[in-house]
Amino acid sequence: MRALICLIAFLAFGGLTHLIGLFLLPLSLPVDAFTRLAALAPSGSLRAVDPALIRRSPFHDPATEIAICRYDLTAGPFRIRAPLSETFLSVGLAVERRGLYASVSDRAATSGVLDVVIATEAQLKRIAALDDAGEAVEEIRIPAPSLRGIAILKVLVDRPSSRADARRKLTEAQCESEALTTATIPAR
Amino acid sequence: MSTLSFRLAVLVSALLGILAGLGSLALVAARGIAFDAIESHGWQFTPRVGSPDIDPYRRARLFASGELPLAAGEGFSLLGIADHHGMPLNSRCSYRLEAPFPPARYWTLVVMQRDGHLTSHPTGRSGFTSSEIIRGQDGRFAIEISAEPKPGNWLPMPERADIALQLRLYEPPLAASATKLDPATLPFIRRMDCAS
Repeated sequence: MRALICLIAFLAFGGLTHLIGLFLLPLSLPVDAFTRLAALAPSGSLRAVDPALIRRSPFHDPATEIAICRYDLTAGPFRIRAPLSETFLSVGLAVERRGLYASVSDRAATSGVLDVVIATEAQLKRIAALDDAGEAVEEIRIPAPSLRGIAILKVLVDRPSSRADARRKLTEAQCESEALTTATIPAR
Repeated sequence: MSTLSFRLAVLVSALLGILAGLGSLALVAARGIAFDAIESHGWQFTPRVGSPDIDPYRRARLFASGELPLAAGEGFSLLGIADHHGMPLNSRCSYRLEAPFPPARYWTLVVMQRDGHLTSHPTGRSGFTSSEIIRGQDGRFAIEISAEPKPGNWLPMPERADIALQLRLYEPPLAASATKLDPATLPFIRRMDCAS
C-alpha cells in the first residue's frame, strides 16, 4: 500500500511537471524564430532581415529574402501591401511565443499586389459595415488572435541573380496602421 | 516503516517524479517527438507544423530549435535523415537524390548539419532550387550529394559530419494541411560509396 502511494506520488508529480513544462517551455525560451525575428523590427514598420542572419539561423531557407513587420492593432487595423515578385511571395502572420496563426501567398493577389488587412474581430465587423454592398472586396482580411504580432514577408530567391529583385520587392512593400476614424477605409 | 520514514519516502518519490518530468521534457525539446510524424524513404514529414493546431510536443521542439517553419499557406517541408537502407546520413558517404520530386510550384533543397545549421563549403553552395537544376531531355534529373566534386547537379557536403537534408515544397497542389504523404512521390536518397 505504501509503495503504491509512493508510486502515485512519483507519477503524479512527474506527469504534472512534464505537462506544465510542455506548455510553459515556448513561453520561456528566448531562441524561437518568431521572438528573434520580432526583435529585429521596430513596431509599425517593415524591416528587411539580413540574409547573413537567415543563413546563420537553424532550419531557415537560405533561398529566401525575408522582411518583418511588427504590428499593434490598438489604434486600428494594419494593412500590408506587397508588389508581386516573379517567384513565390507570401505573408505569414505569427504571435510571439505562440507561433503562426495564418498565412497567405501571392496566389491570392489581385491586380499585381498582395493586399492583406490584419484586424481584430471588432475592427473587422466595423470594416464590413463600411463596405459597399455592390463592390467586390479585393483585400484579404485576416482576424488576429491578439493585438500584437508579427507579419513575415517572404520572397523566394530561385536563383542567385533574382536576389536583388527579391530585396527590391520587399523594400517596396508597405506595412502601416490604418485608423478607423474616417468614413471609409483608405486604400492607396 | 515509521510514519516519518514513510513521509520521507513519499517526498523522495515526488521529487524523483519532478526530476523525471523535467528530464523527459528536456529530451523532448532536444531530440523531438511528434506523435503525428510520418517517416517514409528516409524522409520525415510533420503535418500541421505551420498551422495554429500544431501538436504541443512539436511546438516545444520547434521553439527550442529556433526553426522558422513553412506556414500552412506556403507549403510544407520534409526532413531527410536516412538513406534508402535506413542508415543515418553522414558525409563519409556520397548520396544520389533521384526523381520523383513531389509536385510543387517551387522546391528548395538544402544540406545541413543535424542541428539545422547550414554547412559551410568553399563553393558557397548549400542547396538547390527547382529553377537551378540541370535536367535531362526527358526532364528527369539527379542531385549528387558528396564531399568530393561530381559532374552534374553537385551539392557539396562538409567532410566527416552527420548531415540532414531539408526539402521545402512551396505551393504543392496537395493541400498543405494534408496529414498524409504518398511515398511514391518522394525522392529516393540512394547511398553510393562510403569512405572507410
